[in-house]
Amino acid sequence: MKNKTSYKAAVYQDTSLLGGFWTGHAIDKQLNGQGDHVSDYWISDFLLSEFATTPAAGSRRLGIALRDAVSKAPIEIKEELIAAARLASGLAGKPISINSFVEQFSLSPSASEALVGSLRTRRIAREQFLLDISEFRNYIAYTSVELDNGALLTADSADFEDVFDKQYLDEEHRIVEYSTRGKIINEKLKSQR
Amino acid sequence: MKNSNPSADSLEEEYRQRYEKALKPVALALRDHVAGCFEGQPRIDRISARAKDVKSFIAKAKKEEAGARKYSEPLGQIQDQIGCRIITFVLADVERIDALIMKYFRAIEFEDHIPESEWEFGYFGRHYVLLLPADVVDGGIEPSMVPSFFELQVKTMFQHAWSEAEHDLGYKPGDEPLTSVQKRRLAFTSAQAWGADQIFNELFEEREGSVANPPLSSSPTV
Repeated sequence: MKNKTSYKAAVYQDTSLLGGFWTGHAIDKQLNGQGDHVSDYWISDFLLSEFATTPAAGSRRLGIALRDAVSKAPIEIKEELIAAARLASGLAGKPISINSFVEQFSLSPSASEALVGSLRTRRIAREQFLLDISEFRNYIAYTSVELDNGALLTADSADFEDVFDKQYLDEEHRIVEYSTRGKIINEKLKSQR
Repeated sequence: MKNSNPSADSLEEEYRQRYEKALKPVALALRDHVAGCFEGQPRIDRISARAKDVKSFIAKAKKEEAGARKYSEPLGQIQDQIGCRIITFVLADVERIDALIMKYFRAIEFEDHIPESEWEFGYFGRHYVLLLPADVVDGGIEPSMVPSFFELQVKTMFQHAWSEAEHDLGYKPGDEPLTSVQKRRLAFTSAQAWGADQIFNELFEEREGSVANPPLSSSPTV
């Protein structure tokens, strides 16, 4: 090793030398990014390996974790998580983990806890995968905002901020005014929210 | 490194611990995980998962080939300690499901089980050995008790029905082996199940085609 702060390393292991399907852990300290990022070329071209989690499976995992975290979290945390979900399209096709997602969008400790805590086991937050944005969006397709006057605003998650213009009238009490403009193409009566 | 070639008694005890503490809860979680991945998919009759019971595991671990034990490291080599099965309606669904399996799981092995000769009938089914997703292993489960992989079988309802009935007839320990005529009768039922799959698949594809391209003479229902 030429430099103890700049190196790549990988270890593969299994309980069986003969019958095992060897999995491994890789560290990449030659990337400028922080956290658990590992060069994709190094994994696939040099180590002739692939992430244990497929792009669809990892993106499904992240999408479900975000959806579940948003459904249970306090309102401030919901907004933080939804904002991160909307920005995720910038990571399409890139290797990420749930931990690196938290770092990338500088989620607060509470939002991070809400997200990672919604996983079946926390250790999968470290697993890397390539973000499949269309799969991810399957689980966070729509954003809905409910106001205390009975209004319910819904739009595609990716477009919500473009569709609705939000003005804070009283930031302390979270009083807002939403406005939008468009042609009516349908109206619905629904039995449930 | 853990010793994965223990004596018969300690192997049984080690597997029993593994079965109770890891394989059973992981199999339950795997069933839900696979069902979640296939949510909304048409013509899936059922998805099930099970942990291989202790008796079956030990029987398999003791299997011999050419006078020697087939598995030198049974805990590491026996791939169906956790098994999952997807039952579909028609043969065309098996190919459709294959694409989804490759999308959500890392495949280690794949095999279409069909009788060796075109003149034989017996077991039919598609088997995969897949990397076990970490999502199904709760934090409280000791990772060394969880195999890295699981077996996934994809079968039509006719393939499933035949293999279950055949397994029940032919593999009970202590039973007399099947006679030649009994085997031939089993092959006959397999041929019937195979034929039913072929016909249902043809009917399905014809109907799918007719829905996509309705005949010009068809008139609206009144």
